[in-house]
Amino acid sequence: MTIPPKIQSTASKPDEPGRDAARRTAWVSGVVCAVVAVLLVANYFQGRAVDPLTSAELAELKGALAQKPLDDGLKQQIRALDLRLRRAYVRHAERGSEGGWLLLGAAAVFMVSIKSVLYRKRMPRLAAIVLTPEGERRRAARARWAVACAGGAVGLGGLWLAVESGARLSAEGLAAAAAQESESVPAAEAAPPTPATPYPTEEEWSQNWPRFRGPAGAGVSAYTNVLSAWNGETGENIVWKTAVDVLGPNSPVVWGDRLFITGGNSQRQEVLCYDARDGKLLWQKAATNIVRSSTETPNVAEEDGGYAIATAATDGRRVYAIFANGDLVGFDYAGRQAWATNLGLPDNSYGHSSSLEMFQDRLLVLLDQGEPKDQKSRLRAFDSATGVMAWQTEPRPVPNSWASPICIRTAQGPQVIACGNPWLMAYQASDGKELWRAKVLYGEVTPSPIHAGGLVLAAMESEALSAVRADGSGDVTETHVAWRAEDGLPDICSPVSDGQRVYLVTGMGTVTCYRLADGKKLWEKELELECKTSPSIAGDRLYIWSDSGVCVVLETGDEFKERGRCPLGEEVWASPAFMDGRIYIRGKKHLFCIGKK
Amino acid sequence: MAETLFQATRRQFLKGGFRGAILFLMGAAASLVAWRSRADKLVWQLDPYQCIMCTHCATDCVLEPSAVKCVQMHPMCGYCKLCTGYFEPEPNRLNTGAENQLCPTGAILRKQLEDPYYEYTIDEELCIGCAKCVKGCVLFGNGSFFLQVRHDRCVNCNDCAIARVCPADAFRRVPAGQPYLLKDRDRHG
Repeated sequence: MTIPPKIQSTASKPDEPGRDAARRTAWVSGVVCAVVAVLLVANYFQGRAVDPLTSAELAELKGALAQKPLDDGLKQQIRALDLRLRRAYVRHAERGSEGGWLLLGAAAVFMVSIKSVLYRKRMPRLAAIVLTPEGERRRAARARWAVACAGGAVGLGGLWLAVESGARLSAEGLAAAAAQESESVPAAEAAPPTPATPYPTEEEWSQNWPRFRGPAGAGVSAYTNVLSAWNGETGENIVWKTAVDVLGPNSPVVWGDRLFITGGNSQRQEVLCYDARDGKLLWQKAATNIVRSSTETPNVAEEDGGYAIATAATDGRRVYAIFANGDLVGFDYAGRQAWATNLGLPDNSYGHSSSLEMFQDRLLVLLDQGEPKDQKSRLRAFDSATGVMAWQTEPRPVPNSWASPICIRTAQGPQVIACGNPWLMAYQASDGKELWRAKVLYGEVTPSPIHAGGLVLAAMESEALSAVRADGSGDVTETHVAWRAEDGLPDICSPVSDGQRVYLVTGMGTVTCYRLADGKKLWEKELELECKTSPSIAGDRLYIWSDSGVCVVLETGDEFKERGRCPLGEEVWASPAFMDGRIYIRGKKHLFCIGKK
Repeated sequence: MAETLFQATRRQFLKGGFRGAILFLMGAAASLVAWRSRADKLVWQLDPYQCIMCTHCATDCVLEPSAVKCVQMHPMCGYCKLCTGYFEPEPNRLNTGAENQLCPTGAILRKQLEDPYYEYTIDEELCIGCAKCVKGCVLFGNGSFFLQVRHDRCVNCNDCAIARVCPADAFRRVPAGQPYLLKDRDRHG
């Protein structure tokens, strides 16, 4: 019996033992690898189809159950579907994991076997090597040179690495996070670096216009070098004018060279950041990724910007905004949403309008809702960096209101003052504990309180202008009300004081001046203009903007003195912001900067 | 015999000395490289105070399920009967029925301690890092649920796929010796 030549040629040769076995192993493991890889891909796509995170069917059933909460059949369907989805998900995850290991094992076997086949194939034949003493010496010499050269190259490379990369290696660790952060900010949105401290100093706060009606919420400018004559129609003393394409009567807030307003409708609620130097829009970002507890929409006039009545607040680190649907959001100065939350749909008959206040790193939100019996009205404080609630007051015994809270500094410590019907109340700024309350308000409370000359001043049409000393405790209605006045009471506009007098402006344009010390009425004047904007004071000038955009400039004092009337050219509902030499005012369609060009 | 062993020409002596010097220099360079490169290894971590619960952690990790998991800070937990991290908003009933649970994979275990207190723990094997529970807990509760990159699972990619898309820039590198960024109860009062 003889072996056919063909079979003889494929059999293992004496100097290549196991080559055929290795080749067969490589084939088998290669096929296993390919099959497992295909199965893994199929498993991946099957797994995506049963992802419990995105199951529309499950969401639909849960939505149906919300409509029919007593339907046990729906519950059973949800449970069955949920079980099926979770089982399928876990099964696919397990298959993926097991398949991965199987693929790894098969790939390892494949690599070893294919290497073995190739290695055997490259084995030199003994006959190919001819040893001669001279050739051996030459090879040995070349080998020594090769080792020496390679060693030298490695040594030089090592030295170069040590010298060149040392500084980078040591700095890389702690600087990595900062470097990554700076790289991830697009150049167009590059913002000034965030200060290291969590909140600004009192000095920084007072030098900016960080909230509704300025640093103290009193409408008083720290700067006296602002103009008292301009004309928005001719462009006289208008530094810049920028079109605003969002709705909202909220007022601008300014920190350094950044100016912020908000706007919105039922679809988008946005914060806009402008360069205060030239009016250029730097970014416009909508609040996103907010879980709302209700799908209902607020009952507000969208066409009048009812979603964004409340003015934003800023602390040089972030800008914060609240909207009529209860969304509360913080953006950093590069326009990145730092946090966002929803406070529930405010139960407010005209829509939420109370602006934001700040105390150190706490963002203060006054959310008066419904009726007192509902116990839904509260003052809340949120961590400005994270949006996590830090404290909230006990339910306030007031119905929905529209005034903004103010934070005041007293000898007894910082207090937060909040108005409602019928109580003017003070809370400890650090933890929201109630300090005192005075029954001095009535009706739909809209004007915000101010603090001047040691007195808290709160006014409301159909009740009174009341001056209350802020050093009491408990109910101070009978003990701490310094004086009351009943003429020229405002319906919307907040009072303003120059430290000697208090000025009130009604919606029909009547200006009334009282002496701060004792409440004596000094003068009263009809401006014959309608006003919704709260008055402001800069130096010895009182600025009263009318709805038509005409600003009446008066001289502060014991007598009425009008210095002029300055048209803007469009309607104004928002209050102005005063900075160094400039007034920023939001018209219905434009944002204006008034100052010397 | 000893004389034969230690006999060396000047050329051999210089050659040996040169080799020794090269070896010494290479050793010194290697030591220098090792010494200059001794900075701590860094790993990826998620700052829970910057996290905005956007679900990218569940969908963008190179691993499936993600290396990001929800963790429960028990000292911060209110042990609420109505846990807004466990239950859907406005749940049908306060029980463990699938129609009431927020977690898509049932990764939160609810155990009654004594009425009205319930303990909630995370089954990390099941957690996919979707942050639904975190959002519920942060918005309406104490915020004791939060996300963390689990380093028994994370492969520490040089360019973390989640960090690249994180809208809040909440990811950063931290020293491997302190790989977690936990919430602080004192910070919440």
